[in-house]
Parts: sequence; structure tokens; C-alpha cells
Amino acid sequence: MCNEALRKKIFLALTLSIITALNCHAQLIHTSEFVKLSLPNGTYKLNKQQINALPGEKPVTKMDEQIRPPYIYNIDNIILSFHNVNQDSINNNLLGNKIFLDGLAGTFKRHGNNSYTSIIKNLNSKQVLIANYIINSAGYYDFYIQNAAKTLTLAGKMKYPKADAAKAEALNDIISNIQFTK
Amino acid sequence: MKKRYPKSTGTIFKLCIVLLIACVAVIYGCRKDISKLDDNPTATITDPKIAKAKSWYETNYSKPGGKPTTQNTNAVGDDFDLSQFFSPNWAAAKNYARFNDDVIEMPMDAASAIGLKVGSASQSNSRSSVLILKRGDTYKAYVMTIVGYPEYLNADTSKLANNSYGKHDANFSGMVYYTTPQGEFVDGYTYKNGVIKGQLVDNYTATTTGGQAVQSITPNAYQAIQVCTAWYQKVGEVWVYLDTQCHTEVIEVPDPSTPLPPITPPSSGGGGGGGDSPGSPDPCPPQGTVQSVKDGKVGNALKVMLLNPGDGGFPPPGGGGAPCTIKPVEDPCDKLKKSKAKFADSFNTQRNAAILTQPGPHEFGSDLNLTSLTSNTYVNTPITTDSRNDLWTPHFTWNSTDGYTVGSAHKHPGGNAPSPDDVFLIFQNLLNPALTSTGASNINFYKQNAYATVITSTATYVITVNSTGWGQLGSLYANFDNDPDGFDNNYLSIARDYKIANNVDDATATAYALNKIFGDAINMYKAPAGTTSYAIAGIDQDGKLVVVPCP
Repeated sequence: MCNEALRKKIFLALTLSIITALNCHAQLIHTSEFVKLSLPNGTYKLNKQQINALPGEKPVTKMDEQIRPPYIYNIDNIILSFHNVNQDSINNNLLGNKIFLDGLAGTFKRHGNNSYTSIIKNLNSKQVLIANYIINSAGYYDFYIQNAAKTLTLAGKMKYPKADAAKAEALNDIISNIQFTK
Repeated sequence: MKKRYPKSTGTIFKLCIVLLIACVAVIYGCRKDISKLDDNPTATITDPKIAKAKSWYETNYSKPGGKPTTQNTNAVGDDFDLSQFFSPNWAAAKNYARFNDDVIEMPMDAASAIGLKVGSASQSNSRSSVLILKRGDTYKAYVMTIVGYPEYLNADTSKLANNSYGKHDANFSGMVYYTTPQGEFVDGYTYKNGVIKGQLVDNYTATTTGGQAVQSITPNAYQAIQVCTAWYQKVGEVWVYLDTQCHTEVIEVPDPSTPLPPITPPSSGGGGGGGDSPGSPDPCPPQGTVQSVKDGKVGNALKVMLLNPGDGGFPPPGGGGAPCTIKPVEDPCDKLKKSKAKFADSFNTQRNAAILTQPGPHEFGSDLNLTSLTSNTYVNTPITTDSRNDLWTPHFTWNSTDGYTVGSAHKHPGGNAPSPDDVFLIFQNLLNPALTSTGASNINFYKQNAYATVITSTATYVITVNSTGWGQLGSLYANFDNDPDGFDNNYLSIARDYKIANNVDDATATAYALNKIFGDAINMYKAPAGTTSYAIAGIDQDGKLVVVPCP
């Protein structure tokens, strides 16, 4: 009888462990040097083959792979990518980056596409540069998130189906809460 | 007592026999399925692009009869058809994009290995692949053979597999050799430490002076060497001789008076590899029969492409054009030297300086109109602005009153390098009725002399179009015209990612993105602001933007 009770307890403990493990697995955490971010349930990281299968992502040269963001996730058909954190003065100049993006995106306006907007804002002691624009049927968020000391900047990009704009905006808010670990 | 096995022993025995037969049938059936898979690789092809290419290939290069044997392999001469001796391994095909081509690359099927013997080196030092290039709806097929020189292989032939059409080892020394599937020579390139040292050509006609074929193609000097290659097929463990071809290797030498660099593969000893079939003819004459070198002349029509493509891969077969057509590739330094007479003359220099001093954040610019097609003097066109930070509108003319617009110069106040729009402006002018209505010679004049100058506070950039680049530029323009936002978003993404990954300034990032998109179609020249010290801004074999001065 005593053995039976013990078996039940072990079974219960194992079941709980498995459920906990599954839950932990569902809550993917993006971590790289200097940053940590819990991503929504259902997020999965794309492997090289999956990335290459994305439109326009197949690398042609070694440099194509080298400049490609090393962390690319799929969150319910929204493709989210993060570069490594930059510590240099060029990439930590958010205003400079804004001018850079604004200048390049000026061509969209010339083609009659007035969707491009960009803003630098303060969020929880961090500075965030966010550019948003629509190209054909896809929306894009280009973002640069900077730590309070203005020494680290995480750049990334989000590509989403135009119909999922609200979902992408909510996700953008989550991303802005990324924690700098240094 | 209840019987556990109610049936008789005989019945059980019969049942066992039936089961045994069934097992054998199942095993045999499975084996048959596996062999079917080998014979019909289409069964494993899930990529529709590859399946379509296979269908095209098999329609055009059908293989009558069975597999070759030692009895039918010594087919030398005009009837030689290489495609009869190999089968592409479709199951291992890879698909990627390069130079506006949809590339399908695959090794040979292991059961039909072919080898290329260069000089006295063993044919085991080679690895052949089938390359199918699709541009638009047109397919072209080639056999690409990579030959590793002993100093590169270091007795390890598995290193050959590190090299493909789109990427070769940074220290690759050897040869890439293109033929049609039937074995008709297309062209080839020799490498030393990852750098092109020579080009194999067939249509090279050298004049000879006193037994020496000689040439001078300023500003570079070239030497010509005869290189013979021989095809073999591996039957079991034996290499069986198939065919021999000889070509001319043209190599660039910085100083024609210096001795010929040792770019031909040195003898590996052992008389050409242990696998040769006994009694097979010696396919090649001794190496190093240098025919030429100094002074003298050769048809200037031949221009050898000795610049790496810039993306880490091998040059395209036939220079990207049709098989057996050597497309002359302009030396960007030659082009710079010629074009500088126009875009870097005193008028242009003064005009650039005047544009740069225009105040405010807006773009300013000026059309650069020759007074005639036979002079290097310019019409004194005004400096104009659209009062916008991101746009300046040029005005093309092609007449003796307003001048002949061969170029334009405008300021990028933000400091970025020329944009795709700036390059396309050159192409759009080519379509302008004011030019096209004046006939072919005017159009050719424009093509040879067109340029776009972009001025920033730190540098002056000039874009010219390679004489062989107009077609590629036209294709890119069609893509742009079809989806301008998508095209420019690609440019933005490349520039942004390059800046983030390499911590470079905006000008470098945008110059990289432009070069990345337009490739060999254009030349980009860069000079420090206020100077005419132009250097070539391009992407090196490691994929990074470099600025290289011309000699």
C-alpha cells in the first residue's frame, strides 16, 4: 500500500515536471551578449535552412551571411530578427541612424509610398529608434534599442503581413522592454 | 487436456514455408524499390525548379544506349560527346541565385566519374559538376570542372569539394574549366591563392615575331601559354582516356620583362597518376611551352577578365553570356583612365566644387552637356535644385544647341554614396527619344561616355557603366520598374545590415549596397572631396567594400 502511494507521488511529480518543462519550452527567451528578452509563447528560432527559405534571404556570398542578423525568430508568421549588440560609436548614434534610415527611405516617398515614419523615444530608461513602413503586402519595423548608458545598442527588424499590423505593434512593445544585462 | 496447438505439424510446416516466401517477396520487393530510386532520381526531387531543370536537361542532352564501357570510351575528335560519359546527381542538386541567374549545381553521379587531366597532374585532382543557369526562361548547361594544384590540395583531394560555382576557398590555387555538356570548351580561369591569374581562351590570335607570340594591351601586359587538357572517365578503379583539347592561357604580368610566373601546375611525379589505363595516349605536350611575352601586339579586341567577381565565387562561364563567346570585360582602371578625360576635367572639377558650396540641406545639381560629340568642352549649364533633401531632377538634352548630356553631378547633403536612382538615371537617358532618334552611333557614344557624379562633403563618386554591363543594368531596371519599393527596400536592408555588422559609416554602407546590387554592371570611382584622385570602390573577394587606387 505504501509502495502504491509512493508510486503515485512519483508519477505526479514526473507529470508536473514535464508540464513545467513544456511551459518553459514554450516561453522562448532571446539571450545574447548583453541582452535578454522573453518572447511570446509559440515563438521558435529559425535554423539556417528555414532562414534561407524565406523570400530574399538566401545568401549568395559569404558576406551575405555575415551581415545577416544571427538571431531570427518566427512568431506566428511575424519574422523577428536581432543583430548582435553593437558597442561602437557609429551604431550607438541613434540620431545618426535615424537620419541614415530617413535618407534611404526617402526613395519610398518618391515612388508615392508615404507609409514611412520614424521616431526616437524614451522607454523605461532606454532610448528606442523605431522606423515603420509598408512595402507591398508586408509591414516592417526597423528598431534600435539603446541602454541607459548609451553604450550598447541592439538593432533588429520585424517583418509582418500587413493584415497583422496590430499584432506586430503589440510585439514591438514587448521588444522595447528588452533587458540589458550589463 | 486442451491442445495448445490444434493444427497438425504438417500444417504448421506449410504455414512456415508460406511465411518464408512472403518474407523473401517483401525483401526482394523492397530491394527493387531501392534500385528504382537510384535509376530514377526524380523520385527524390521535391524542388519544382530542379525537377523542371532536370526535364529540360534530359530533353536536350539525352543519353542513348547504356552506360559507357572501356570499349566505347576512346572517342576522340569531333564526334566526342562528353555528356555520354556522365550523369548528373540530381538528388544532390543545389539551387541558388547568382549574377541574375537561377543556378542549379550538382555533382556527377558517383557511378560516372569523369576527370580532367591538366598537364602532368593527375586527373584525380579534379572534380566536375553540372551547372545549369536559368535566366528568364532560358536554360544553359555547363560542365564546371575544378582542378586543384598540388600546392593547394596538399595531397588531400577532398578539398576540391570546398569549392563550388558560388564560392571557392580563399586560398584556392588551380583552375576552373567550363565546357558545354558535350565537352565543347567555353572558357576557364587559373587561380593562385584565391586570385585569378589567367584566363583560358580559344579564340586568341597572337601575332608572332621571330617565334614569339607577343602582345601589348595597355596598360597591362599579357603572356600566352599553351595548356592542354584531357578528359578521362573512371571505370572501376581505372581512368580511361576520352579526349584532348588544347587552349591558350593568357596571364597578366605586371612587368613583361619579368620571368613567367609558375602558374601552370607543377609536375606531380609518377607520370600522371597511377590510375591511367595502360597504353592510353599522352594527351598533353610538356607544360610551360611559353610562346610569347614581350612587346609586340595582339588583337586589342581581347580583354582578359583578371578581376575576381567579388562575391567569393568563380566567374560565370562565357563571361555570363552564351557558351563559346568570350565577353570582353573592361578593366575598370582602363575605363577610369579613358573616362577621366571627361568627368575629371577642369569644368567638371569646378562644377563639382560649385555644387558642393551650395548652402542648405537641399540637393543641388547640374547637367553636364558636351558642346559636341567630338570635343571635351561643356555647355555652361545652370546649377539647379528642387528644394528637396532627397531629390534633384536632371534635364536630358541631345542637340547642338543645349548640348549632349553625357553626365550629371549632384550633391548628397546626407553624405551617402550614389543611390540606385542615380544609376538608373544613366539607363533612363539611354531610352530618351532625344537620344534614340539620333541613331546607333549616338547611342554608342552615350554608352561609352555616360556617367553620374555624386558629391558629398567628404568625397566625390562617379558611376560609369561597363561596356558589357548595359544588359544587366537593363534587367535591374526592369526589376526596379516592376517593384520600385521592393527594389529600394532591398538596397536599404543591405546598407543597414552592412553598417550594423561592420560598424562603418553611412557612405561606406551605401557604397557597399550599390556595388552589391549592381555588381559588374557598373564601376564606382571615389575621390576625396575637391580632388580628382579617383580610385575604384568595389567589393573584394571577402565581400567587403574596398577602395583600390589604379596604378
